[in-house]
Amino acid sequence: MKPLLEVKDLTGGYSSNRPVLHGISFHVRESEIVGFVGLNGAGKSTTIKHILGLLEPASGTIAINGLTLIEAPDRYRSQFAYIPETPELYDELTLWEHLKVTAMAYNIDEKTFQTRAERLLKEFRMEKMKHWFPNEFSKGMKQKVMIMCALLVEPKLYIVDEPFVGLDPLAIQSFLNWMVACKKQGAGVLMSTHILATAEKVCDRVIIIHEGKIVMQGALDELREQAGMPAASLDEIYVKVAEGAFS
Amino acid sequence: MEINGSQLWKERFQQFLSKFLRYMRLIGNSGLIFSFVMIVIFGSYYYSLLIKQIPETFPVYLCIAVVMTYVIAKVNIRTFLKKADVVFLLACEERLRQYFSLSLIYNLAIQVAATFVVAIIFAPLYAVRADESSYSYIGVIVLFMFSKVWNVFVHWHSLKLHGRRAIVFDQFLRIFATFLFVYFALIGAKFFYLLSVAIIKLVFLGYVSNVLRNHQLNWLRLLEMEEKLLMRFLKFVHAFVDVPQLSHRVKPRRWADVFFAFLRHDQQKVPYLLYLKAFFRSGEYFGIYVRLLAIGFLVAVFMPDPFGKMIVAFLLVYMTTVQLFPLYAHFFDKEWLLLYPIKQNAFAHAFERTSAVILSIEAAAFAVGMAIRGVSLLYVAVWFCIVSIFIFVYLKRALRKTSADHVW
Repeated sequence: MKPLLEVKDLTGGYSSNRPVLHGISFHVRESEIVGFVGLNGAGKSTTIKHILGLLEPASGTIAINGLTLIEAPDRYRSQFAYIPETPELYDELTLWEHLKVTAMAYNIDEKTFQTRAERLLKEFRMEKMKHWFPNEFSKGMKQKVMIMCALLVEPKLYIVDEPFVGLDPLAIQSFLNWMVACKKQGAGVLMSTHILATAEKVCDRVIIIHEGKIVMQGALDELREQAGMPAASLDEIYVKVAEGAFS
Repeated sequence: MEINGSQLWKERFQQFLSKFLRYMRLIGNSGLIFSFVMIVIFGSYYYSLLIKQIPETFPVYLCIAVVMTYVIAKVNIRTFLKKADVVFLLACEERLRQYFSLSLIYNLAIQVAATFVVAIIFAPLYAVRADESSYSYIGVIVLFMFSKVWNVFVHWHSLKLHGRRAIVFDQFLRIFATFLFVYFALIGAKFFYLLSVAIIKLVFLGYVSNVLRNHQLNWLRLLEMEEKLLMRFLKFVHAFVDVPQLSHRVKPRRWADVFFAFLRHDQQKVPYLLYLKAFFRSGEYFGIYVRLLAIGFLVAVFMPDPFGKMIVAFLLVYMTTVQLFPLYAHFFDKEWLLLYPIKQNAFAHAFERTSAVILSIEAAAFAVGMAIRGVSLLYVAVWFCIVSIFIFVYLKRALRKTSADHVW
C-alpha cells in the first residue's frame, strides 16, 4: 500500500546553509497513528513546517498521497489539517466563526459544516461558548478550538504538534477517541508529543528524532528490539536515546 | 461558501485603516500637529539658508543619490496577515492570489508616493547644481519612481527565497543597481546609459519572477515582516499616546539598578522599591520623562526671552507631573498587594516622595539650564521655589482625590 505521507531524504531548516534536519526519511500510512518524539530542538517542529510547506527543503521530497507541494499547492495542503503547538486564533472571530472560516477555506459546503460543527461542539463540551471570543477562553479552550477546526475538515492526514498542553483530562480523552475513530475510517495521523505514556498507548508506530536525524522508528516492540531493551517502556527507550546512546 | 481574497484584503485593510485613523486623531489631539507645523516652517527656512551656503566642493549629487538610494531600495511589504492565517488559510494560497496582488498594489502606491515626497524635498538642492546638461527634475523624479516600482517587484519575488544568503544577495543587488541608476539620472548621464541600466533591471526582474514562479510564498517571512512593521507603527504612536499593546512591555534598563542599591532591605521600603522599578522599567514613564527633560533643558538654555524660558520650563514640569501621576495606580490591579502586611497609606506616601524627588531633579536641571544663559540667579531661585511649591500642592491634591476613589 502506498503511504499517505512520505518524507524522503529530507535535509532542511530555516537556512539552507545551516540545515537542522539531515536526510530524514519516514512515512505515515492510512489508518495509522504515528508518534513523533524528540527533545526540544531535536527538529520536530522544523520537520512539521517542511510538511506544511512553510519551509523549502534543501534536498529531499515530501509527498502526500503521491502529490508534492509544487505540483498543486492548494490541493496538497487541502489533504491535511494542522493543529499547532500554541493556539493561534483570530481575536475578532467567535468560536463558531472560526469553524466557519475553516469550512470556507477547505471548501466544505454549508450543510456538512453545520452537522459536523454541532457534533464537535457537543463532543468537546463547548456548546455554551459557541459565540465567545478568544479573549474569553482559557488556554485549554483555545487549544480545543484549534482541535475542533482541524477535526471539522475530516482530512486524510492530521498533523498534530503537541496537542495535550493545557487540555483537561476529558478533552484529552475526547481528542484521542476522535483520533482513533478517524484512524478506523482510514485517516493517518502524525503526532508530535512529549507525553510518552499516551503516545505508547495510542500510537501504532513511533519515530524518534535526535539532533536532526531519525534514530529509530517502528512499533514499540521493534523499538525495544532495536534498543536491546526487551521489557522497556517508551519512556526508558527515549531517555537512552536522549542520552546519546544510539547516535 | 468560498474564501474571497479581495474581500478579505479589504476587510483587513479596513481594520488597519480604522486603527490608523484612531491613533492619528489621538496624536492630533495631543497638540503635536502644532509642533509639527512649526518644525516644517522652521525647517524649510533653515533649509533655504543652508542651500545658499553650500560650498562649491560639496558633493551634492552624491548626497542626494545616497539618501534616495536608501529611500528607494528600502522596501517593506505589508500584507496585513495574521498569525492565525498560517493555520486557517494555508490551504488557500492559490485562491488568495488576489489578496496578495492587492497587498502589492497597496505597498507600491504608498512607497511610490513616499519616494515622490522625498524627491520633492531635494528639488531646491538639485537646482543648485543643475545646468544645461542636466535632466529636468520632473524627469528625474519619474526615473526615481520607476526604480522604486522595480525594487518593490524584485523584493516581492525574492521574498519567496529562504535562507540568509539569498536575502543578503537580493538586498545587495538592489542597492547597487538602484544607486547606479539614481546617480546616473542625477549627473545627467547620456540617455543611452540610463536606458541600458533600465533594460538590465527589467531583464533581471523577468528572470527573477520566472525562476521563482514555482516557489510558494514564504508565509513565515511575510508574517515576521508584517509584525515588525506593525510594531514600528505602534512604537511611533506610543511616543505620543499610550498604546495598550506596548504599555505592558518591560525594558530591563539594568544601569538603573544602582538607584535601587540605596534602598534598605526593609518592609517600609517595599512601596518605594516597586514605584522606582516601575518608573524605570515599565516603558511608560521613564521614556516620557527623559524626553520632556531634554526638551525643557534645551528650551531653558536656548530660548531667547528669559520670561519665556521660565514659563515654558514651568509648563514642561507641569506636563511631566501629569504624565507621571498614573504611576501611582500602576500596581492597583495586583490584588496581592492588599495582602502585604503594610500600612494602607504607605503607597500614597511613597509615591508622593518618590515623584517629588523625580520632578525636583527635572526642575533643578531646568534651573541650571536657565542660569547658564540669560536668567539671573535670583530669578532662577524664585522660579525653583514656585515650581517646588506647585509640585507639592499638585501631588497632595491629586493623591487626596484619587485615594477617595480607591479602597487604598
